[in-house]
Amino acid sequence: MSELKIALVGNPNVGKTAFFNALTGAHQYVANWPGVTVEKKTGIFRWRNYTVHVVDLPGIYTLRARSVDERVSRDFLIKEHPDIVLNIVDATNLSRNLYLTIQLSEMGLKTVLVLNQMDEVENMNISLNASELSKRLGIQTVETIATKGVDIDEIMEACLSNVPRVRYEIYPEDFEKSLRNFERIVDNSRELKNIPSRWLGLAFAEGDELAKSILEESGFLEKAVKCFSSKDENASLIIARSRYEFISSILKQVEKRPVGSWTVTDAFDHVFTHKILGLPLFISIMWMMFQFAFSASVPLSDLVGDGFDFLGKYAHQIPGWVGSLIGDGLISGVGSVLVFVPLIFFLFLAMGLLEDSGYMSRAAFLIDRIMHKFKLSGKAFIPMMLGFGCNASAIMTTRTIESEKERLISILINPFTSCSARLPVYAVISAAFFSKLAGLTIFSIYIISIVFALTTAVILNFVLKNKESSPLTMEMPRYQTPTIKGLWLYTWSRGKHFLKKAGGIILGATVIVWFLSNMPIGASLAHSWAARIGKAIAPLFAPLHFDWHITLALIFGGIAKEVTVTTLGTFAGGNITSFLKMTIDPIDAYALMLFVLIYIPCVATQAVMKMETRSYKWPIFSVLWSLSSAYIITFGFETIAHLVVR
Amino acid sequence: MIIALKDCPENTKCILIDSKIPDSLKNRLMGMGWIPGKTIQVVRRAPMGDPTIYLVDSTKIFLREEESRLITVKPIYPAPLSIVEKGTYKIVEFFGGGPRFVERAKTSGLAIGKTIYVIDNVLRGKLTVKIDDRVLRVGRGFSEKIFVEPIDV
Repeated sequence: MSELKIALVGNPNVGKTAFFNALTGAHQYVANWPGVTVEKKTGIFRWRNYTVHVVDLPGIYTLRARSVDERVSRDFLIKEHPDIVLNIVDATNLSRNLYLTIQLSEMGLKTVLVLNQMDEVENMNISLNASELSKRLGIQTVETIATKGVDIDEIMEACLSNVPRVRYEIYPEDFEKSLRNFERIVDNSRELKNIPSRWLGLAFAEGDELAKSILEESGFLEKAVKCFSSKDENASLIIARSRYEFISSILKQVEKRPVGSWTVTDAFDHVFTHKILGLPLFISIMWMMFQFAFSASVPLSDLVGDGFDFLGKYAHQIPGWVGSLIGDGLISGVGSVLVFVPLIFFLFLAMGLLEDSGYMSRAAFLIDRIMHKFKLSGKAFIPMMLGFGCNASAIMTTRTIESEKERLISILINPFTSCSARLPVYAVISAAFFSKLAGLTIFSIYIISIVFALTTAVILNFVLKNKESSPLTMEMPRYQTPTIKGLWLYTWSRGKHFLKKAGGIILGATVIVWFLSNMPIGASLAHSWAARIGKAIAPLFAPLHFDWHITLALIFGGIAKEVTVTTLGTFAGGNITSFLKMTIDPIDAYALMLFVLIYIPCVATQAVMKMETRSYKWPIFSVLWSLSSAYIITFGFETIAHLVVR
Repeated sequence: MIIALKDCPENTKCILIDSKIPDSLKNRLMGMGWIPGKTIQVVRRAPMGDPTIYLVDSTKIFLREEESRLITVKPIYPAPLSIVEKGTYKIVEFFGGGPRFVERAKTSGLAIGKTIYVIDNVLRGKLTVKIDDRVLRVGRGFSEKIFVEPIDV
């Protein structure tokens, strides 16, 4: 058995993750916008007598990194020395994609070129001579359609074939001379023998900070400066131009493209990014997304609800505390959340449709002006959108944001975009109090959610002295027809998380709540331990008109927002609607929804915040800030609303 | 004439001359094919005027005005009237305007094939042109849809 380490490298959104899935049989989700993979993912498979470790790296355009995700890729390539690099390229767009290929070879990495999206090449009537391309580049090439599976034998044989290392001497002669001088110095040194010398020289000439710091640390900076004397002031331009000239000289021989024709993507873009129609379409699409999720899930939710009612009746026939635990605790508690599983799955399905089709990047384009006003990068939009699914995973995607301050702000405002876990809480309350207007009520909470997130951004911009949003260069991917498989992967990988929570943390919390509300043995709910704890804390929330039941539900909700509902479910013993109606009035009910929207990020989100900011300071700040704002806003709303209504 | 990329209206094609954007961003743009000499096509401006989608090679990306004002380009003819300097031009086509635009153009005496003389263009506000020996003040939005080609007199 021998081990092989293979890295997947390529521009963003060329299909690396799809290729990774096809190669390793994994089920990583693939989206149609750049920056899905923000951390490296590893998979293992066996092939003949090899154990192959595959690493899927975040997409990069060049080896010069600006954001955290790009740094992950570059550092891996420099420090981990993969045996083989599979350079995945979008075969419809070779002139841009091959730029990275050249850089990879300059890094001394054994590169195999994977021409992906060959189906699109055919659709666009591009003729491509792959074997000629392989010959001219001096590296192995493989043609694939990763979304439809790959031929592992062909890929591995290409990886293991014995081709000599390529060396592209493509720069003007004086520059090549300086470069050769530099390479000789580096190759003969002890300190830098593990660093690819050609890459180091080129990167230094281009002004790369990493190359400079490597040279500085090893004491070679002066020599490097001497090699690339000031006559090459515009070195980075010379380098880039030489690379493109080389690429286009090759492409002239191997590729024939039809002259600019009106593609389907152009036609869609004409409508979706239209000056007048674009924004109204965006708002309608968002509204449709919610409406679809709510209406389509009703029959299924009803079915699940009926099922739990039925089970509950049976459970109550079991005598003693077992029946009570199963009936009141598990079934009415956990059941009250599981009713919303269909809703959450449909919401993810709708979001998956938007992401897979490529609409998300267009939405980012339409909305960027607003983000800009709030000094947020256009890239901050996508984490915000994803926050409506789950804040914890959305916060991870802020890694594509280049400026540290902006990234921090994006992380801190993310919990205010109302995640799907809060949806059951809204749904229960609005169904109880605003029956016919329930949809509108919930939509209003979502609007408030966005407004509050942006308001927090303004405040944080001021506090953190964030002056300018970082520059934005975002690629517009082609529109794609979402595949059933892709949508299923998307919906399931996110929905699964919700189910796991229901079976784990939510179940656990529910059992604890049941236990607390049934102890000491034989006591009624009003005299239980739960009541004692709740009543002890309740005075703090008394100004908000929340009694001890709700107070306790909110505290447990800090673990995971759904627990708010399960706790109320346990207290109510099945009928949350009538229980809530007895406890609060409609104004307080809306206030409760506001409170749930804003107060503290859940434990998982706090953990991710800690991980991403590498400090306890920010999760603590986030908890304090959200708790106090929730309190003040809810109190303000209730005071004013009661005045108006009375 | 060398102008900033941000001044180029939709449908303009131009050649990238230089950019004064920060080095590392410039490097990434180069990785996306944005090197001097390349043709940039202005595809679309966002509803609120910023950012703008550009096409280079076969990659569409969008940039904000903060960056596009630091990038200098040379328009390729036929170019929109709004960005040409003083001189004599021939109207080649109308681009991006509806039937009402064509109607308005006709009543102003602007028609395809006609010769137009640009008297003054400061790239802001209205520009002054002469057509059929009549001096006209043309609005910016209007002039962005008239594509012209220079002619030697």
